[in-house]
Amino acid sequence: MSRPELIERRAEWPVQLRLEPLPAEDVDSLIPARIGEALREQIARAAGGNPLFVGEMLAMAGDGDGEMVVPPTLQALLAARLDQLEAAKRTVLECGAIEGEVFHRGAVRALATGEAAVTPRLAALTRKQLIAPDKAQIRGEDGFRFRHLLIRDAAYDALPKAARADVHARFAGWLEEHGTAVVELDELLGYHLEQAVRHRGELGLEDAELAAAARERLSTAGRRALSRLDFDSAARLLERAAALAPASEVDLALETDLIDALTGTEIEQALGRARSLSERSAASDDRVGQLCGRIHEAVLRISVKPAGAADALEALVLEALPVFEAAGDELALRIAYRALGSVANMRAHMDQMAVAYEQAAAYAAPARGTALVGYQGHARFPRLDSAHRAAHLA
Amino acid sequence: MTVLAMLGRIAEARALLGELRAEVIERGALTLHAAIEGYARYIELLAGDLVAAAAAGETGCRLDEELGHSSELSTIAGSLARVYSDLGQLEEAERWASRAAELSSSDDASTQMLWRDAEALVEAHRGQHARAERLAREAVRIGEQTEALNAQAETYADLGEVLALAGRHRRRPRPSKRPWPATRRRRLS
Repeated sequence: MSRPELIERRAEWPVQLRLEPLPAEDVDSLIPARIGEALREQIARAAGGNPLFVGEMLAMAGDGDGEMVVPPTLQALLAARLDQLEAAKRTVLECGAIEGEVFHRGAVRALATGEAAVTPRLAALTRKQLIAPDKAQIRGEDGFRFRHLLIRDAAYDALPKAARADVHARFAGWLEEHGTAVVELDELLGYHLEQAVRHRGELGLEDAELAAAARERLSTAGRRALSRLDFDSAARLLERAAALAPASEVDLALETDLIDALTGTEIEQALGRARSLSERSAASDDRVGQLCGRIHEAVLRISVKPAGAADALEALVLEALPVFEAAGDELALRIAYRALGSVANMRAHMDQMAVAYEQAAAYAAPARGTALVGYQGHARFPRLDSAHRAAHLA
Repeated sequence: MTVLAMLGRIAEARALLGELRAEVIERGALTLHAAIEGYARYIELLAGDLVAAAAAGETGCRLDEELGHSSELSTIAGSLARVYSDLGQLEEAERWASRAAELSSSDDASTQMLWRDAEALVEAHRGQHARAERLAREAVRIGEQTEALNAQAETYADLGEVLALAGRHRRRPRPSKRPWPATRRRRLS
C-alpha cells in the first residue's frame, strides 16, 4: 500500500484492500532492460516491493546508470506521511533512522532522551507500516527494519544537522558499549563518528577529539581489510581515515598503509598519494615524511617504469637512512629497509633481500601500522614482485 | 599450493588454486588475480602441462598490462616466451621475448635471463647457432651475478640445450615438444 495514511483519514471508506509488497521478480519485471545492473539493484532495494516507488524512481532515472535520485514527488509523499506523525513517534523514528535501515530498540531508548514509552511508539509505527520487526544484529536486542529504505532516508533527512551530529555521536557511544560482538564494529563506529564530525563541520563546528576517534576506528578497520588483502575496502576506509586528520598533521603510518592498499587497486593513485605525502610533509618541514613519500614513490616506479628505478631507489634510501636514524623514527626505518628489499629483489640478490626484509620486520612495531609479516620469506624465491608478496601474505 | 605442486601433489595444488582464483575474480581484485596466475603458471609447469602454463601466462600478462605493472609484465612475458619455446611455438616465443626485452630494466636480473634464454632457444631451433650461444652465455653471466640458484641452473640447462641443438653434444638433443620433466624445477617468475 503506497499511502496507508489515507485509511486513517477516510475511515468511512467501505473497502480496505491490503496489498503485500511485490515479489522481487515482479519488481524486476517493472524495470526496463535498458537500466543497468547497479541502478537496477538500487531501485529494487529502495522500492521495497512498492510499484509506485519503482515507477517514480524510474521516471527520474532516465536511461542512465548513475546514482539513484529520489524524485521530489516521492520525497514529498514520504515527508507528508512523516509530518502526520505525533512528535514523540517521529522522534522515535528519527532515532531509529540514525542507526540505519535496521535498528534496535535499545539504541532508540538511549537516543530518544525524555521519551519513556519507546516500546508503544515502536508498536504504533509498526501498525502504521513504517517499520516492521526484524532480526536483531545485536544479541539480546529487538530489531526493526524500515519498511522502505526511502522512509528511513526521509526520516533521517528531516533531522537538522546539529541533531544528526549529536545523535550519531551518541549512537556510537551506545554501540561501543552494546555491540562488542558485532563483526564490523570498527567500520560502524568509524562511520557514525565520521558522520558526527561531518555534520558538525558543515555547521562550522570542529571537534578534534571526535575526529581523532573516528580516524582511529576507520584506520583499524582499514588495516584489518588490508591484512586480509581486501585492497578496495582497505583503500576506501583508510582514505576516509586520512581525510579526518588535521590539515597540518601527516600521519605517516596511516599514509603508508593507504599507499599499500592503493598499490593493490590502482597504482597511479598510489603514486599520486606518495607524491602528495612528500609534498605535504615538505610544506610542514617534515624531512622524514618527505623522504618517506619519495621512497614510496620510487618503489612504485619499479613497477610502472622499471628502467633505472632500482638504482634511483637505492640512492634515495642511502640518502634517507642517516636522516631516519638521527630522528630515531622506526617507522621510517622500516619503510627504508623494505625499499632496500625491493632493490635486492630486482637484482635477484636473495640474501640481501632477506636481510633487508628482516631488518624492516624488526622495526614493524604493531602499534605503528601493518606489520611486514612474511616478507622475509620471499627471498627464497628468485623474483617476487609486490603482487606476489601480497599473495604470500594471504 | 606451490609447495604441494613441488611435492608432486598436483591435483591438490590445482584445487587450491581454483578456489583462490575464483575468490579473487569474484572480488574483482586484479592485482591478486595477476599474482595467482603466476602461481598457476608455476604449478602447470611442474605438472608438465605447458599449454596450461602458457594460458596462465597469457592471462597474467593481460592483467599486468591492464594494471600498468610494466616490471611484472616484463618478467611474466619472459617466462611465457620460455614456455612457448618449450612448446615449439617459436613465433610466439620470439614475440614475448621481444616484449620482455623491450619492457624490462637492465638491472632486472630475472627478466634479463628469461628473455635471453627464450630467444636463444628460438635462434637455436632456426639454425642461428652463434647468436643462440651468445644469448645463452649472456644469460649465464647475468645469473652468476645473482643469488638465484634455480634461475642460474636454468641458464646452464638452456645453454646446454642450445649447444646440443648446434650438434655440440654426445647424445641426441631432446625434442622441443618434450613433456616437462617432473624433476626439473623452473624459476618461479
